[in-house]
Amino acid sequence: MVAAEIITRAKWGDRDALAEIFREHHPAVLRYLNGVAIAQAEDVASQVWVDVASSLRRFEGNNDDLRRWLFTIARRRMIDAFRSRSRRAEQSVAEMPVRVGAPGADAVTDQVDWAEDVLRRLPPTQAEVVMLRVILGFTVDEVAALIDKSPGAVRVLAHRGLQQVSRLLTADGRAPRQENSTSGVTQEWPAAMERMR
Amino acid sequence: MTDAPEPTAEMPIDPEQMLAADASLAEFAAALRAPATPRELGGESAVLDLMVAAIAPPIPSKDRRMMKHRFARTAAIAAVAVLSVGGVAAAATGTNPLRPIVSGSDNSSERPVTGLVVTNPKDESSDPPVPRLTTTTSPTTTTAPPPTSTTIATNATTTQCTEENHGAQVSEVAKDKSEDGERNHGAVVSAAAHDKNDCDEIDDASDDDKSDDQHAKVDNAEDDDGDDDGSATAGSGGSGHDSKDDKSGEGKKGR
Repeated sequence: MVAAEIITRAKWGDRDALAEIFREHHPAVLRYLNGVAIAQAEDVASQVWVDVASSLRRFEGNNDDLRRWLFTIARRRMIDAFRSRSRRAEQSVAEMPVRVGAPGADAVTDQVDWAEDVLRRLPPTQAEVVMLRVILGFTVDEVAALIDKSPGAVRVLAHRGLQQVSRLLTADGRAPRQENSTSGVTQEWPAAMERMR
Repeated sequence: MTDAPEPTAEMPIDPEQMLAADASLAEFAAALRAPATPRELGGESAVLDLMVAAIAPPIPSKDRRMMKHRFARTAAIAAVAVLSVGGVAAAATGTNPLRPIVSGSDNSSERPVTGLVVTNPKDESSDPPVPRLTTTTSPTTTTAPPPTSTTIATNATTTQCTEENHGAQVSEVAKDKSEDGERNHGAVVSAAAHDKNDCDEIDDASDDDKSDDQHAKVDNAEDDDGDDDGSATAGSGGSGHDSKDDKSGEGKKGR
């Protein structure tokens, strides 16, 4: 959580304050861009931060406002990156650049890479909504405003996205629901589906 | 699972409930919510450099306004200085094509552009060409500033040869028979009558104090010094009349 005082200092170019904001929000931005299958996501994320710094002096608000504003910029840069990629040769998910970190070097990194890989297998809009709504915790209205869709569409996209993730995890053998019928979680899953009826 | 109904906008679906219902989904979400990895923050320093560079130092609005006023004032002063200094410099060096070369301080602004030209005397004397002030018309004279130079004003002050004084000057030449012989007197008078441009020269020549021997024709017309044997009277035929009194005496004698 970035304090208002940190934001004020960052507006005046305080490097420490900027670093604190960066460390707080950069991982989410980078995972969001990676999750929607953006090539060269780190370059795009860097451009996002430069844009933020360029306009930071005009920003007014708290940490939540800053996060919304940050992801608004990130989404615009993401769309630019998609358009740029469409002008070039189509790049499939399989052609995504290989990650820098060696497998197994860091357990957390491995988990992040795995989750991003799963997310990239979703349709981009579903992946985007899952990331914003489920992972980052934006409200339905906030996500609707960010992606310019209705709140109902956001709910549907979030639900379908999570369903798709569950299927993918099952197919990959990561989902213990069918095999481990004693798990309370798996027992609750059909019940959750039933509640949606 | 494929039988699951499609959620509607009215149907509240809490993602947290879905995550709680599925361990794999919970694991998936936990992985994406994990703290930043060293790899993700690897480029922090470079990005922060770009961010600091992108944040320009602020300029207070008051200072910005003052800078704007100061710039406008400086630009106006510079423009006035350039125009005035340039105009003076052009006038001093004579490089301004619009600047007329005029003389005289009385009616110079009303006169057309005058130029300093070199004209040959009408006779065949060997005197070097003498600068004369002549009048040439030009359409650009109306906006000319008053002249500051008086380099040729001495000639110009006596150059007003109008219709009125031209006749008087011809008459004066006609009356002056002192140095010319009987034969040349008529020719001199005729020349004075026909040449209105030279009336100033005649006028100059008639004035003993101001005669400067610049114009051979004037010298031909008059020689009060009585040195008619000199070169100035070469066109008169060298008849050798010394003075007005002598001439009149001869005439009386002849008659």
